[in-house]
Amino acid sequence: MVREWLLTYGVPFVGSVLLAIGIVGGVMGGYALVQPAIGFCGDPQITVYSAEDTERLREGHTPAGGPELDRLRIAELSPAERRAVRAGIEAPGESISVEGATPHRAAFRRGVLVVADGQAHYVTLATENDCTQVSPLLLPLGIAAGLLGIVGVLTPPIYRRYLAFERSQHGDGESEGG
Amino acid sequence: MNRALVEFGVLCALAILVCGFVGYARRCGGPRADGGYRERSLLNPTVIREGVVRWTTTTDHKDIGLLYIAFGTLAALWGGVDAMMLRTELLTPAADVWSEATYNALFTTHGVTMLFFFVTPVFFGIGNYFIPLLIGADDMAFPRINAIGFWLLPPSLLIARAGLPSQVTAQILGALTSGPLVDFFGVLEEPGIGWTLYPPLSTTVANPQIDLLLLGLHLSGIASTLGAINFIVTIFYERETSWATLDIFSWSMLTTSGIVLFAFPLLGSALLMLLADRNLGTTFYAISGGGPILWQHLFWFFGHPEVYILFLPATGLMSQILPKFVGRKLFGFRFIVYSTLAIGVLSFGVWAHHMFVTSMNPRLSASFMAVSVAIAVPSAIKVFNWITTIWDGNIRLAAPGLLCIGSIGTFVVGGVTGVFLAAVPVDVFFHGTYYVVGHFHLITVGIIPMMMIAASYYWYPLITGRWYDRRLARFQVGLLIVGSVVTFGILLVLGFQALPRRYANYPAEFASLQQIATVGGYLIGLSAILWLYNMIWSYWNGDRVDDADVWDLKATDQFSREWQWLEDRLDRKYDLPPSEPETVRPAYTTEPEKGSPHVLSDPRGLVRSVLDDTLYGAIGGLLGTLAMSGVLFTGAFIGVFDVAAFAELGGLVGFGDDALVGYLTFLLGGVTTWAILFRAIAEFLPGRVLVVTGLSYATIMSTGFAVAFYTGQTGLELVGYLGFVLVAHWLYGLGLAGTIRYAEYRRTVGD
Repeated sequence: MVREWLLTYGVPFVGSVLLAIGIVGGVMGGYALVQPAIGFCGDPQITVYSAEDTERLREGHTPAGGPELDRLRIAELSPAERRAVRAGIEAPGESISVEGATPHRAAFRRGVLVVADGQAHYVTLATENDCTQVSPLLLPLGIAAGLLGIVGVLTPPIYRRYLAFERSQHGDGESEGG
Repeated sequence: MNRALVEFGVLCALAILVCGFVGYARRCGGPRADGGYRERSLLNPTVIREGVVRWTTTTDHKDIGLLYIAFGTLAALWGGVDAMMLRTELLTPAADVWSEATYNALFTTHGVTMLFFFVTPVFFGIGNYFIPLLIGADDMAFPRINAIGFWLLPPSLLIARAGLPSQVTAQILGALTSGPLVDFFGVLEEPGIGWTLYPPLSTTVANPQIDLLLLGLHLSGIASTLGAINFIVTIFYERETSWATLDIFSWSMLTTSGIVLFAFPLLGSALLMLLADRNLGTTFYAISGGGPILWQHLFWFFGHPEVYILFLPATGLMSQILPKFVGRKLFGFRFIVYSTLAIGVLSFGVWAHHMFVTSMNPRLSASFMAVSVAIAVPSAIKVFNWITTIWDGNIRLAAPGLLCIGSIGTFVVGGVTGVFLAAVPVDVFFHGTYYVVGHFHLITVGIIPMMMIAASYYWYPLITGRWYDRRLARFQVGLLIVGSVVTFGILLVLGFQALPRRYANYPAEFASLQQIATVGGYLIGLSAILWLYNMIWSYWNGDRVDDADVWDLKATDQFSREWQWLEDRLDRKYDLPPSEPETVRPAYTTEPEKGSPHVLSDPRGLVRSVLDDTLYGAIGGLLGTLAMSGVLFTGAFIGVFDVAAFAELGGLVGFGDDALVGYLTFLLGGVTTWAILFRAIAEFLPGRVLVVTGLSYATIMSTGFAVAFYTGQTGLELVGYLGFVLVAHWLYGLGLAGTIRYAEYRRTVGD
């Protein structure tokens, strides 16, 4: 009885856990490999607010209270930052990738006013867009765990079929119950 | 990562797999039980046309019930994919799988899809199918309104979640062309504002998909209200039973429908005001007008009753199903009815417990705290009655019974954590943390889908005329319960440590707990897939039901109306008279072998068999060792096993520290020593059949090997090393025992 329960429920349960762990390892390990290769990470993204929204956000924080925001002229930015800010002014509120050197990343992270064409725009970091950092062992171990998990899940039907074969060897005509 | 394409791809893959599997399961199924012709192909144009006309024009309560359940299942898969994706994000402390914006969208759409498009439709489906049967009605009171109520749901889901197909369309079109059409689709993105849609965020974010979401939710609210009116009228006017004998599930659905009737129109009004604020410049929720807190009051005046709209049908199912699996009638039936009605009333008096940290008046907070604590009383009455129903019962651990027992456990934890949250000082600390997420998931997963699945198993023979795979069902249930407890228990622990919810990034010290929770979440996902597999496969291939009393309910005088309906139907349709069921119990009673009958009478045979044993043992050992080598060398390639360990073996037997010599020694040992030892002690090892004995033997051996060949692995390397050693030995055991068993088989055939 205990053995039957172990084989019918215990082994596939352990198999399911292994499969779940395998999915974790396989997905994360595999994704960590391909993510930089296909350009899904590395470039931070910024959000640029329109001049009106910037003004609205600053209301209530003047003359006192609220954070003191640094100001940067657009000319001070690196070419990549400048391109991204220009694109952000065209599409306020959207996340724009900074494709290139980002020397002002810390300022963007804190939130900064960028002055372009005489108007101040609040610019902030939307996402660091870091690349996934995992152990290189995660992918192979994940695949191995997943395969072993599948074997575990399939153990009950395989075992039942094998048992039926054994029974037929011994001339035992019992049928499988539900 | 490009979330839209990934999610869309996963959903398409799921759809293709399910459709393909439906076709396969249908083809594997034999001819019909009534001896009719084999069913025509699903791709036959006539079949498609007839099917489309039949399912889109039906007003039969059973058909509409199935449509609701199918729709809810589809929505559950969609919302479930969201859940798997957001749990994947939380595997790492940084937001490096999806972006923060995508994560926000994921938890928003997960909540909306599960609450509005999964749970309510499925319960309405179960109600549609069974309430007329339970109360003796021919159909629902308003069959066509019933159909309209359902058919409003698919468009409402598509409108509410148009962001995903729209993004995919924009990306596909964008790859081919550019222009206003691409821009149009590109503008619609899944909103990332939380399912509670709090202003000022929901009024200031420019994403037009938010407007569509509001419209979609409004439409689903209309659909729910239509369905609720139908249930109320049906139960009031169509029943054959008296109020005193009305079944508990119908009582629950009646109360739920009453809540829907009062809650959903209010949601509609609140949504329209939000829509007006976003598009017409009104100030219902603007600081200069009604204020953002007004939204919270209106929303939660709907939202908390909504929690009970989701929860009460589950309790009704529990009260309906549990007695059947413990062989006792429901204890305190009348008090469970009272508690259901009490919850229905009280549910409208607790909404502000979601708002304890909005600087509301402390006197108000105290009054809402009192009502929130009070609403736990009727819930506790239910739990105590369920436990008392189980008490001294004849418990049957079939899948529905297991789910009932598991649900009581998870619901108690979910409920008690809710009582804590009802207390203002505790809530102030826990508000906005994972504790809240853990609490409500222990309710929303710990009883609601569990009872849906319990109902699906309990009534499966009635709906389909076939049995589901009962072993797989029990396993699936165990997986679901364990997955839920692990995932949401961990969320409670994270909440105890005050980790805020709804953040894509979190401090690294929480990574281990989050990873365990994700593994648990994947287990829930796997169990959902297994349930779907079981439902589809068994529909065409399950054992046929030839008697309506499939659960032996007559023995305990619990053969209720819906089963009587099935009995009449079987009699009418297949001329199957009522009968007592046979008890079917699997029993593996293979007699172990008593040894060879030729041993004493035929010494030549004995010699031959010894030689054969030696030969086959050696061949088995060789095959096993080679298979084992394959795994070990794979491990070496990955970097978890060091081949230099073989060199030590060479040195140990006096051949010098050479890896090749060591490996050959290892091979020789596998062919001789370990194979002979197995033959000698096999009968003393666990395992009814030789192959299992081989696995036992190999498992024991692997411990020694793991110690002897250890070369200082740590962390993930050590985990991999131990795993590969174990699997390698299992292959050795299989190869060795399998070969020997094959030899015996050949000998038997020869005899």
